[in-house]
Amino acid sequence: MIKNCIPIIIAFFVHITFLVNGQNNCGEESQQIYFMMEKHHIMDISPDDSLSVSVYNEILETLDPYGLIFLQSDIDSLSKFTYIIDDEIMQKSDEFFLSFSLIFKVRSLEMLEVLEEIELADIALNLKDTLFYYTDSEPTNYSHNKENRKKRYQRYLKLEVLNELFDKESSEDTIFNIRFTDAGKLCSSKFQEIKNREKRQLVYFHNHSMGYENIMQLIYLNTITTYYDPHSMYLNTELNKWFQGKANASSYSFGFTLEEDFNGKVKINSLIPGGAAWKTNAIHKGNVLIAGTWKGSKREDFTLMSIDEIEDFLEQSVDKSFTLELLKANGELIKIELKKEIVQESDDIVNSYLLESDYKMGLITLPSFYTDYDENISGCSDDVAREIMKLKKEGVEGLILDLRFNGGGSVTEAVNLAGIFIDAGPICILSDKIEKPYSIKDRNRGTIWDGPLVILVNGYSASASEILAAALQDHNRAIIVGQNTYGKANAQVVIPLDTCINKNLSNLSFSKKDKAFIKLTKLLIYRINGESNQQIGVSPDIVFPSYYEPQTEKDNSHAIANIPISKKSYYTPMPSLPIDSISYLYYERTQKETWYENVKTLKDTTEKLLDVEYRLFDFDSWQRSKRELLVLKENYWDKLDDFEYHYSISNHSYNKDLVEIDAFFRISNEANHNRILSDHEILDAIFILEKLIKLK
Amino acid sequence: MKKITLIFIVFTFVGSLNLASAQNFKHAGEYMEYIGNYHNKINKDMWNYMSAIARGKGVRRVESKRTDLIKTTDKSLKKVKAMGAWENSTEFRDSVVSYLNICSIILKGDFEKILDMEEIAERSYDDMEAYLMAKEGANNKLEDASEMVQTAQRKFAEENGINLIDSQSKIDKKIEKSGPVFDYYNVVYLLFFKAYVQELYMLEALNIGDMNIAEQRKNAMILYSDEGLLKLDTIKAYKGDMTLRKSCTQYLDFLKEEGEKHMPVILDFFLKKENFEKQQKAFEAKSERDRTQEDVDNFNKAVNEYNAAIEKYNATNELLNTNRARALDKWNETISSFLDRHIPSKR
Repeated sequence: MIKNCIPIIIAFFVHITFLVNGQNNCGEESQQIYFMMEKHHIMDISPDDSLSVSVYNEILETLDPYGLIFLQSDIDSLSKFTYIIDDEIMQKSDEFFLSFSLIFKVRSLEMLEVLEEIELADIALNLKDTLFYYTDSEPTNYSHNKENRKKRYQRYLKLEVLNELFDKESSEDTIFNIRFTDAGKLCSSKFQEIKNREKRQLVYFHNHSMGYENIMQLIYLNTITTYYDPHSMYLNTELNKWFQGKANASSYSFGFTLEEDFNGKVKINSLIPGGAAWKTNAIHKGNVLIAGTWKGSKREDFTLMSIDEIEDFLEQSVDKSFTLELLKANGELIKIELKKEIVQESDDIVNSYLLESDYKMGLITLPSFYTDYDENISGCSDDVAREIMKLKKEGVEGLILDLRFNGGGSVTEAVNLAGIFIDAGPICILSDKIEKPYSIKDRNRGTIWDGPLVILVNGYSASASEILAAALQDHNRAIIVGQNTYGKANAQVVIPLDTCINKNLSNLSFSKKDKAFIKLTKLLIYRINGESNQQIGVSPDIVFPSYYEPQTEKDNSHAIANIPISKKSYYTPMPSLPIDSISYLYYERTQKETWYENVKTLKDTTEKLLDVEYRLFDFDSWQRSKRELLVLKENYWDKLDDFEYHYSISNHSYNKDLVEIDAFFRISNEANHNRILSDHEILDAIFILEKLIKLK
Repeated sequence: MKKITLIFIVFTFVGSLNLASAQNFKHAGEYMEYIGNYHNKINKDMWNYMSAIARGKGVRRVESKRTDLIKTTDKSLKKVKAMGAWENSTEFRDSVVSYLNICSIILKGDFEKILDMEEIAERSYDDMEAYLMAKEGANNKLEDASEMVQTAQRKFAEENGINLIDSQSKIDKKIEKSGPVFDYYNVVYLLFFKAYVQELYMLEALNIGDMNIAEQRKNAMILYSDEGLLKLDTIKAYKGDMTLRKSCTQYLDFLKEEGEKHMPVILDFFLKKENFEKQQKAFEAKSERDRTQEDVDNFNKAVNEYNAAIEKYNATNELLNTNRARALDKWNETISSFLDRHIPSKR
């Protein structure tokens, strides 16, 4: 009984769905979700009071996170549902849904009127006040009357205005050097800006292209699916079409698709492999769009725009250069120059570089595990294989594979990619509801690269990235460096919301349902040593310092627990790598170089500054504390770019010819070289690889 | 390519007595002889089967001989199973039953009845490897069972005052003589096969343009050729006959050279082809007006390099095809003549 690798694609496309016809009954849909989950979801979870409490709280938190819209009396009337939503689901009832969506509709429109009434003078920017920080576990409290709610809203606006007013790049900015009395103009224009944004926020659901009822239903049904686990999701085929349509709408594109979250933030939803955004190596799924500037035109603030407005704005030109400002997951704000390109499917999707110091080394960056869902492109493992063959011809003695910010993709591709580095053997173990856990193996004898190998990961390397890193770690094949990975060891399938589909999905192709879909967690993934990375992640063999703590799987509420299995997996690891001695050499380096001290100081000081129970909350105090933060940033953060490197970067000979012939390739290539040279973690990875080559 | 699988089992259990048969046994010798008779029948079919393989008979003929052998084995198994105890002891009978049972299972390939096939699937990476592993496991089981039969037989004879005379029939002798020939052949063949199958996979991958698998299989082919050549050094000639060893060495030398010297040219061509197509696309994307002399020169340089690569690729491919056919023919001829020389004649 030899099991074939099941191609599992962890869908990373869909986030918000569009219920176009809107005729679905919410109660019925919720019951269907329950049936589907019971049959297919990897965990045996039955709806009970705890589901009810979770759905109840999450709905309130999603719609009104700061308690600015609902009144305490609304909450009192809704609270009767706290423990009965599970029963409603079983009885196909949508009473809770109708109640909260009706109340929210009324209250949010009320707040729109309130907002219109509030003037700059009402928020009293210079008035001394104190802002207290509560922990997440404390429930939101609500206003007892409308007057009280208005005051609360004014304080909220005051905070927003102060925040934005002092959100500057430099501590030398004029705003830090003027008195409140002289800042009237600045304050009033910022107040108008915030007011506009808040208005948009309040009518966001009312004006949604799906219609108010449908977007509310979508939010409600998704609070049910996320109770099962954070990656399960209720969705609709229309969205897929919508995204596909957007991605292919023009032959020239920046090579990304966008999504709008429930709060109206517009984010990168996916990158088209090989597209302009992909090639920058700097843009990743989940990055929030902040602003954009067409060359020679005015900068547009994307935080004030809807996804459709941004899409239209991005359509303005085909050949002009464009500067995109993004907020990365680690809080870093980046500016990227982009130019639209025709996405050529046969193009090199994987980037590789030749690094030279005392040794010749190769660097391959892989932002996601794309697969050959389309016959015209090969999967990422084939593309990486080709790049290695090209680098080998240059005589490289070691290889770095950069998986930072790689959030996963196809499990099959991860297995095939591991096969490039190991002769043959198990890569991971899969466990589902249907049969005994089974190993997924690299069945192709032989390797493409059997030399020194370093894998670079961080807290955003998830899923398929973790499978690869863990397998190479267990086989003693590579040194894993960077930061602890995300900790997602489960895989999802997207299937129609059709209760007739068999547990083993054998009759999936016969399903005629195409209105609603469900993405659900069907598999748990284990390392070949039988352990799970779930919530834990892959611990690097050598940890690189970092000044930020990313949000990972363990921070998700309802994340699936780390469940042990007993499963025999047969493999012969390679001889141990000299990790201890290289680790020590790296430690010595961190003691000698001031760069590491700067990272540590930055991390400690930022933590100290952020870890406060309350903050003074007026123009002068905010000016002072924001400035303090900026000075800190300037003292340490900016120093993080200040280091020396000892290596040179170039292309393998196959690309050298292309540099001569393709002008745009030349430009993007140079930008990538500069980005790599200013990346301290690459420098650290090179340090490790050099030692590994030397000790080989 | 012929004769892919040829690891098989030579049935050995010692001594048959030439006595008459009956179901109501008058004495222990008769009891033993009854079993011996079935052993003779099996041996006859066994020999027919072995000869068919050794003489390179067609697949259908070999298969029909195997079917005959299975039928005889199953019939014998049924008969021996039906025998009563001898003086309250069924030890001898049971050991024969269990031995014949394993024989039947192996001949039919029903390995899951005696082996943990799930474990074998876990440990192996393709069907061929799983099959070889299963065969090996089954052989070990058969050897154990054979030893048990011999022990039980000796004990039975001793307890019942029977003097066992090793009176081998002509066929017994032929089978016994053939056993080591096949053992030797199997060892050498496996070294050939391990590398050969990697080449097969490599060529398959090249046919569909899968560079990833082709490169991996190429490296595995070199690895197994090296491993095989090293082991061949330690294998002696079979009764002074060096031919099989030498021919295998020559074939592995060919694979090694193919992998180390010629395949890089073939694989590199595929990369150059992709690269040229990219350059062509970039060149053609520029309108003729916009092209500088430098652009044209660069592109012409690329065209010339690509043409040179095509020529080199074609020459290498032709050379490989010729050498591969020659080496394989040589290997197959050597196997035929080797078995012909050392397996006793059919009659």
